[in-house]
Amino acid sequence: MKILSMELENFRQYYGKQNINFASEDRNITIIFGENGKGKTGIFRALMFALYNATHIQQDNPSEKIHLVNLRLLDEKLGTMCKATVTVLFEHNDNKYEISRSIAAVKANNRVQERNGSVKFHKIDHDGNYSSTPIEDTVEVGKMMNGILDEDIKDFFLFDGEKIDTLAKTNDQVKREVKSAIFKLLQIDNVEEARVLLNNLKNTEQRNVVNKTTDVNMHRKLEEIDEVTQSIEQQKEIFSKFSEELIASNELIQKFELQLSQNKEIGIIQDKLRLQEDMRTALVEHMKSIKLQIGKLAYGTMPYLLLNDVFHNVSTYLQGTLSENDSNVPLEVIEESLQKNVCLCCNNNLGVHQENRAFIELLKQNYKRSQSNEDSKAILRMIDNSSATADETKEKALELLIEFDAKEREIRNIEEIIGEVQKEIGKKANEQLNLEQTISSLKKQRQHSNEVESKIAQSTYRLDDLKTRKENLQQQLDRIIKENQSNAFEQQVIDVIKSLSDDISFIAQEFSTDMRIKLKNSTTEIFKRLIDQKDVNLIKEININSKFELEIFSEDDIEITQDISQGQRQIVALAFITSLAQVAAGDSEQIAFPLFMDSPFNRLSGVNRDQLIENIPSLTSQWILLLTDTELTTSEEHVFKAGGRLGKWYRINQIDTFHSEIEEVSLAASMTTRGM
Amino acid sequence: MAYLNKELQERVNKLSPLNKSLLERFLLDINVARLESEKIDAVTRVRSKIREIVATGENK
Repeated sequence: MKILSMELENFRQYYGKQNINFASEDRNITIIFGENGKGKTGIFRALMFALYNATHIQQDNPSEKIHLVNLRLLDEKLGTMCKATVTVLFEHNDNKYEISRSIAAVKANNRVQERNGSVKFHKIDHDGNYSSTPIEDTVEVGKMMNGILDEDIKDFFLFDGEKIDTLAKTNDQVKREVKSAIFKLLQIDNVEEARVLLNNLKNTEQRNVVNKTTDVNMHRKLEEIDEVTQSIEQQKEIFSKFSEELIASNELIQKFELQLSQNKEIGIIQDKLRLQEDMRTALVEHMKSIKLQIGKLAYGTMPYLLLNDVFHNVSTYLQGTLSENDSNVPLEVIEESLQKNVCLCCNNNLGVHQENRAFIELLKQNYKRSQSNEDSKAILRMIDNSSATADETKEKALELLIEFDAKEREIRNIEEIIGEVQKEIGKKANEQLNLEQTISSLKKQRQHSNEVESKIAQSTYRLDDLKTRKENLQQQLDRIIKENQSNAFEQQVIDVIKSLSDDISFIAQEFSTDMRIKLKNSTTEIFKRLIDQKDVNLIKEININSKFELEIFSEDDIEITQDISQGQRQIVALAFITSLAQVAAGDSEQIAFPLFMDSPFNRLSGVNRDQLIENIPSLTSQWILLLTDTELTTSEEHVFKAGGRLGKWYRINQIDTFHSEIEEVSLAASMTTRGM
Repeated sequence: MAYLNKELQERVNKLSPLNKSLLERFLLDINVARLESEKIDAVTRVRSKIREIVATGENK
C-alpha cells in the first residue's frame, strides 16, 4: 500500500480545501511540520476517517465527541448543513484506489449535530479511468479496506506517538495486541481456521455417504466415531472445567500470598511498636531512679543550701561564744574542789584563798554555758560539712534536673511515635486476618492446585487417547467407504477434501513456528540497525516466544525485557512493527505498507532519532511523519537532508482560530524554528 | 486480507496444481470472511468447486 495524496475539505482545523502529496520511491519521506495545536493530529484523524470511518483515534476518550466538520464554517453558516470531506488516493498491489468520505453537521443553538456521511470507493484503471460505479456501501467499503490493510492491524502502521508508548509496555493487554497482530498479519489464525473447516467438511461429506447407504459396517463405524466424538466433547468439557478451576485456585493462592505479605507488613509495624514501648518502659524506670536521687537531695542536703547565709551568721556567732567560754575543767572536778575546799587541779587551799574559791564558784555557775559549747561545736561541724559539699550538691541537683528534663522529652517523643504506629496498625487492622488461618488456607489451596493440575494431565492424556482412537476409527471408515464401489463419486470428493485437509494440516504444523523464528530474527536485526550504536551490544536477541510474546535477552542470555530504558523499549516497538510488516510482506528489503507516525520522536534521545532518520527510509516504502517543533530541530533537519531521502516537506500555518492551511515548502528551504 | 502473505503463498505454491488453486481460493475467502455466515459460504464454495472438479474428471 502506498498513500499518494490526501485532500481535506473543511475537516477539523482545515478551512476550505487543503492538499498533500506524499513522497515515495527513492525520496520516500514526507514531513508535515506544525507546532502543537496547529492541526498535525487533524491530518492523522483525516486519514483514519477516510480509510476506516474512524471518528476517534487511540489518544481520544471514546465517550467524548470529536467534531470533524470545521467549526469556523459551522459558525459562518449557522443552521445550515455543512460537510467535511477527506479524499485519499492510494496504490495497492499495482492497483490505484480513491476513497472519499464525508460527514455532515449543523450548528444551531450552540450545539453541533453531526449526521451520517457518505463514502465513495473507486478503483482506477491503469489509464487513470475511475470505475463507473463506485462502492458506496459502508460495510462493503470496510471489507475492501480490510482486504488492503486490516482494521485490526492498521494501528501498527498508521499510528500516533502514543501507540509506540503502548507497544513499549509489557502488560497483558499489549501481549494480547501483539499476538493478535502477529496472527492477523502473518495469517496464522486463518491457516488454523482453514484446517478445522476442511476437516469438518470431510467429516460431513463422509456422514452424508454413510446416511445414504445401508452398509451396516459403515453405520457401526460411524456410530463408534460418534461415540468417541461425544467422549472427546465430554473430556474437553472436563478439561475446560479443570482449567477454569485451576485458574480460580491459582488466583486464590495469589490472594492468600498477598494477605500474608500484608500480614508480614503488620508484623513489622508491631515489632516497631514493641521496640518503642520497651524504650518507653526503660526510660520510665530511669526517670524513677532520677526522681529517687532528687528526693534524697531534696530531703537531705538541699535544704542546707537554702540556709547558707544563715549558716554563715550562726557560724560567726558560735565561734565568738566558744572563744569566750573556753573552759576545759569538768563539772565533777569543780564541785569536788568546792566540797573539799581544795583545788583538785593545783592543791590550792580554797579556805585560805577565798578569791580562788570565788573563781571556782563562778566556774560552776557558768558551767551550763560551757555545756552548750559541745552543741555549738557540733553545729559548727555540721555547718562546715555543709559548706564544703554545697557546690557539689548544687551541681549534682542541677545535673539530675537536666537529666530528668531530657528523659521526659525523650518519653514524649516516643509516645508520639507510639501514637503514630498505633494509628498505622489501626489502618491495617481491617485487612489483617488470622495469620495462621491464612497460612493453612494457602497450604490447602496449593494442594488443591496440584490435584487439579494432575487431573488436567489425566484429562489431556485421555483426550489424546480418544483423539488417536477417533483417528483410527476414521481411517477404518475411510477404508470401508473406499471399498464400497457404489460411492465412487462421493469417495472422490472426499479424497480431494482429505488431500486438501492433509496439505493444510502439514502447512499449519510448521507455519506458526517458522513465522515466529523469522519475526524474531527480523526484529533483532532491525533493532540493531535502529538502536544507538553504543547500545548495540546491550541486547543479543528479541525473541518471540511460543505464546507470541516479546522477550528481550542480553548478551549473556538473561531476560531483560523489564530492565531496558523507555527509549530503548520504543526502538524495540518500532523494530517489531517494521519487522512484522516485513515478514508479512515476505520481502526482506522493504515493508509494503507506509509507516505513518504522528509525533514519534518525543521520547527518543537525539542519537536514537538520528538512527531512525537514517535507517527507517530503507525499511519502508513510505515514511510519513507529523512532527512538532521540538521533534524537528536544526539537528534533525540536518540529518533528514543529509540522508537524501526527504521527498516532501509541508508546513501547517495557523491563519486564525479553526483555520489552518497546509503549505508545501521547498526542500532547499529551512523549516525548523528551534535549535538554531 | 485479500492476499496471502508471501511465506504462506510460497508454501501453497508447492502443492499440487489442483490443491494449490483450491486451497489458495479457500484461504483468501477465509481471510476476508468476517462473519460466521461468510465462513460457511467459503466452505460451500470450496465444496461446490470440488464436486465440479470431480464431475469433470479434473482431479484425475
